[in-house]
Amino acid sequence: MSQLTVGVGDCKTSNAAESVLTTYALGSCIAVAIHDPVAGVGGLLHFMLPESSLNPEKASQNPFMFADTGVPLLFRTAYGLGAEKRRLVVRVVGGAQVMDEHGVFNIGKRNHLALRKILWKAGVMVHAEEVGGNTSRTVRLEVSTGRFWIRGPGMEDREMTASSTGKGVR
Amino acid sequence: MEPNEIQIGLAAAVEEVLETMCFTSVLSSGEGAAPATMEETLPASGDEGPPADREVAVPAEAEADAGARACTAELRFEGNPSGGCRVSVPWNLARAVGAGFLGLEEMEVSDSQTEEVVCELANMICGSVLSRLESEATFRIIHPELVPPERGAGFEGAGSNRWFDLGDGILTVSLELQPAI
Amino acid sequence: MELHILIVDDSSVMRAFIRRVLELSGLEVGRCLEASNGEEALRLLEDNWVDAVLTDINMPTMDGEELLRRMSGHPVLRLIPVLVVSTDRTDGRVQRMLTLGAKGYVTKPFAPETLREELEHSLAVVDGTE
Repeated sequence: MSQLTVGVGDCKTSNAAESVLTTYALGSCIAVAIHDPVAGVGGLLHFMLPESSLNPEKASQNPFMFADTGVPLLFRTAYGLGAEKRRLVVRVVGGAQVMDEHGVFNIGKRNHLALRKILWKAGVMVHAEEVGGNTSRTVRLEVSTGRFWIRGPGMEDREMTASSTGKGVR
Repeated sequence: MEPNEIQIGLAAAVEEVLETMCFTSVLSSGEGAAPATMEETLPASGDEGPPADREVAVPAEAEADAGARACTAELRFEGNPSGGCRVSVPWNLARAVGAGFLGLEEMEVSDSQTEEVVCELANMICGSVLSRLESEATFRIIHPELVPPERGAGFEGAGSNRWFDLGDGILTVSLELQPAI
Repeated sequence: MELHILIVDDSSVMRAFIRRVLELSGLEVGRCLEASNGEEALRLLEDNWVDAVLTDINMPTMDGEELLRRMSGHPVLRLIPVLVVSTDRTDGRVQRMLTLGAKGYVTKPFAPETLREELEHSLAVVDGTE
């Protein structure tokens, strides 16, 4: 196993079967994990803020800090390794309602909505999502299998399958 | 039905509709037809954080002008209670919300699509509020229609009004309830 | 095998939203027919076989409850799974639609993946794979 750590405002993609992509301390930040089971390609983005217009200079130095610059790059990099949009399994985690350094509570929700708007416009469906709450999370994606785990503080890993959003009435 | 219950229902319904299908967040909201006078505060340049609680100056002339350029949809509903619901959105904001709903760039959204989105917002907001307030009743919602701008954003007479600041403009909702005799 | 779907809703933009979900869903969607009320839907169903009907309830001319009642009383149309997509989440309405034979019920507003999952469930129930 080869662990690749994704930092805050960072992104990694891999087509190496032994790779495991991991990112930590998702408070109001959001992790976007994508996996193409046919091409064997995985990618993980950890972004902090919704819109690069908030700080264009920062965005040009580090596009992964913002949803609108980071998400397209994540997908394009994965396509470069052989992934195809229609095969991608997409999972979204984070966006907790925690106070950030600006004393603002709602940045987690704004991050989530910005991401969902970008994905909907790009024609990408979300397969599983765990957002909100008020705890920090850690996630990891296994490139060989596409399996994905979430961990909250002081808790064990929970596997997130590719369909964890059912909200219909039956 | 307590007025406060209606305000809470309106707030929850609008947030749910805008977030779930338009991917738009509500920055703040309040009772009434529009926010009272507020001061404008801009984020400091270079500040990478989001704007703090936004406050907007709305002088009388600007309010009237904005009202004349609003897209307003109204529907009636029958049941216990019966009544009506009206949603009013400044035109540019309506187009932006429509773009979020349809997954398009703003410039790709036609006028008729914008109008249809506002009508569907009225439909969903009304349905959501009524279901929250009267979960056991049956309602029939009549197809929403556009309202000429000169009729204004709220109902005349008694009704519950609430405004919602979406960052790029203010959306207002009016709910009028007529209990069965 | 391609799925043919009929979307019934008086809002053209809601039909567009649902159509987009279907196109992005990973299901092999062939024809996507549209109707703006129950009466139009029944006319389309006279000449077109579909694998599922997604219907709103509150519509002019003929509402979704009447459409479902007519379909469930018809020897052939009763075989088509119906998924209700409506703002009405009152207990009475949900129960009536399920009792009339709806295979699923999605309340508006809904996230795209919620609709996709409910449609997959409705189709699987009919298939016997669930």
